[in-house]
Amino acid sequence: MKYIKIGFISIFIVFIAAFFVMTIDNENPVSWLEKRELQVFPEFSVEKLADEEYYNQLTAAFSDQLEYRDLLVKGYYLFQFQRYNGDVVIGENNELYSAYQRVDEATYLSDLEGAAGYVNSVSAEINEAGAEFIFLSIPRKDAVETKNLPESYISSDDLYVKSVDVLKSTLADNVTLIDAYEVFSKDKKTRYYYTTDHHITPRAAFMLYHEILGYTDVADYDVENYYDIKKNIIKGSFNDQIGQSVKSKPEELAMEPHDMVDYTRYENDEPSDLKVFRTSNTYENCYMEGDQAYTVIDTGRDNLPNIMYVGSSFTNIMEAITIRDFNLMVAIDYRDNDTGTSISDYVRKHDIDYVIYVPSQSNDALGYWKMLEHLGL
Amino acid sequence: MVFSSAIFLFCFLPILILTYFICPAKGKNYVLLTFSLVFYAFGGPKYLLVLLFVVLVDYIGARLIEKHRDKAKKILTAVIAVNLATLVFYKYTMFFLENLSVVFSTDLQFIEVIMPIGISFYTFQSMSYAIDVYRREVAVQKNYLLLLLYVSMFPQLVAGPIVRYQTIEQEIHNRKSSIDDICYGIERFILGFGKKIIIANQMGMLADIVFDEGTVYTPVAWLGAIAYMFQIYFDFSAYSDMAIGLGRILGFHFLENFNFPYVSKSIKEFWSRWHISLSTWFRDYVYIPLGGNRKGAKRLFLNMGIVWALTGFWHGAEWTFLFWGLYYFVFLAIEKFIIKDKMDKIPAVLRHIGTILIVLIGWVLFRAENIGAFVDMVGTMFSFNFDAMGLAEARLYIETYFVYFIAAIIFSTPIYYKICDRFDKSAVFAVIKYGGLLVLMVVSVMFLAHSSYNPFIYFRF
Repeated sequence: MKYIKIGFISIFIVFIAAFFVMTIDNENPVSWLEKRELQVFPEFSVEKLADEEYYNQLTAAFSDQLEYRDLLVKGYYLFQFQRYNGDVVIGENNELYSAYQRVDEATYLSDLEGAAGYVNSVSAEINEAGAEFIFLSIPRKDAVETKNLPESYISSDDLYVKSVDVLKSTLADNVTLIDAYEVFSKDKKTRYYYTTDHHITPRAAFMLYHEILGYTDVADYDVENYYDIKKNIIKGSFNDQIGQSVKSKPEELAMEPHDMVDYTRYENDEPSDLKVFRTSNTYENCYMEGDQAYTVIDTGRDNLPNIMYVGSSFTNIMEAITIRDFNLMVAIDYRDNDTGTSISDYVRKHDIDYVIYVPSQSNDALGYWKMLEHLGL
Repeated sequence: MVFSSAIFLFCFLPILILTYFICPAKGKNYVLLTFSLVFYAFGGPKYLLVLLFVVLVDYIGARLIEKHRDKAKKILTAVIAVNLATLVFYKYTMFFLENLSVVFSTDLQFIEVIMPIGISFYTFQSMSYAIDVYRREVAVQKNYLLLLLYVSMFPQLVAGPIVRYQTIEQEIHNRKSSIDDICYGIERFILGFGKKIIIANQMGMLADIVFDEGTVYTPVAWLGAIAYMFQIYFDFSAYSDMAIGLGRILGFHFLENFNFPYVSKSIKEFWSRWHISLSTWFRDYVYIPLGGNRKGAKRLFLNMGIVWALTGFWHGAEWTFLFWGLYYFVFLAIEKFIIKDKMDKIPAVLRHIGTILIVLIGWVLFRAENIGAFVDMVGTMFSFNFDAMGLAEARLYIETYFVYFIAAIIFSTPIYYKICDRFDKSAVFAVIKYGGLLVLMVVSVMFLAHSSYNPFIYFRF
């Protein structure tokens, strides 16, 4: 018995000491899985011993720099053996969804009604500045692709439908409402969302783009014929949230245009070398090189109309497709843009003809309420 | 610093163990003191001064008491006054200013006082030493650093148990860490670590959803309350497990602080099993000096009221905590003055259910932001709103947290220890047990790593 105990004590001490030795000189600046900067070990000095912040940094650094951290996190999710994994729900066939988000329905719909009233006033300003306003509503994945959801999961489809009803009854005539849920309902076989990611696929983007073209002076055409769609293993954002613990399979992810128009790109009014299309394992790297606060793509074809997107990462793929058919494509990411310039100011500045507003429903059930924030810019 | 952090487990602990066991016996106390002060500095280095001050007051006070026995009572009164003034200033100033601001309809919060971590524990612990010297129950400690070691010893410094000086008086001067002690200490530590990281934190996630966002659905409210009941037990008792385990590794034998309180069949029994070190502290240093049960029923009633109001208020500077203490006073008074010995005639199952129900409602009061939130929550629990949406939400939570609820129920009972006792002599069982504990350790570390995993759904670079 004594030797068993000595063995137990030894393994425990070796275990904790080994992590100390392996971790103490780690200097990983970023976690690509988490998409965030990691806390590195702060430099030591005697003066810092009296500084509370030094201890906080040290504590955070030891957590962030812990050896095998990603592997341990992956182990955590594998150990869960369950479908509800924090922020992500694992459905049938490893289909991933956002976790259920509690919403007080009455308050939410009432807020939405108020927000829609605000949209009307913003739309009037945009009209006055010379552009048309199109409201593109995209539901969360769990509202559209429900067949693989766990039986006990409370999908957001009912709430989404009620939300759109409120919008339809509240939005003024000068606001064009495109409901992606309705568009996607036309074809149940198409994959509109990636298996392990919350974004829409190229097929879904094409369908929505056709709808948008229907409200513009640009004639609709077989947009999809102008692109090769490549299948690739996707490292989805949902999968990131559970430490990439679900095995991904190749999906239609990146697009390559047959004939890319010439363009000049600007980021925050500065010339930029960032690409429009790329091949990668992640959605954000495939289109527009990720989320940018303020992008302008100028194709120098003054005879064509100008278009502007106000949205989040959901518009990245739409922006990329749009460039072919418009003179100017301006994109504002409402989460990152803090220039203080209003949408109507942008419209005047770039002589925009169409403003497409895409409030994301993907990871915030109260996304619509944020319209006040989004459109206030 | 908390035990359930990577820096404690993989940096502080291995360095401490290495240094402590390499160091000759003479220096072990000073190694431990140094590490304890470093441990405390992680909660705010400037608050070390408060700790040093409190211990200095009790150190000087106890020496003066010993030297001037004729004035001992006055000296002790002064010592207690300084201890309590320190505690009240740091813990309750903001509460009083906030309430006075409301009463006088003006902003009186002209200063911001931040409470040093663990002050409720270490002032009680340090003060009890001075009182025990006055009572001649312990010998005066002439070495300030050793008294500081007793109060600041890191395993029990920030969250108890409240260790009495007499418990470890001998061990401060002479202790040994046997293989059995170290093994038992590691076992208790791993069990506590697992209870905190795996059960308490998961239960806390559910409790936070329900309490922070509120609910109108009866089944969801009950689930939230039950989750919190488990969270607070597994959080607090786990900390005591880890403290007792770490103490044992270092050669100290702290007394138990929890004894499976959720198996209790009366409120009195519950409080004899819950946070035992605090209950006994109030019994020995407040209740008995007030006269206890020796001065008639009316005085007993009053004494109980005082003790439970103080117990509640000790837990936090909020009205909810005061009412929480008085809530238990009411039920204890009912048991003592009304039910009396008729309690045994009630079937054990009903007594158990009744006790758990009272404790559960008590935890709702403890967790509530304010009295209004408590009333809302209890109102929902008894509103019998079994709307389909509420049932669906409750089902989702049960499915999500099912494993943790089962684990919480099992480890709320002494089953594990009974099994260990039953096969105590079996080498095969020992291999299975220690192997299982090491697996639990690895799994707990996975949960620990996950607790700092903070992925952004969007690109942030």
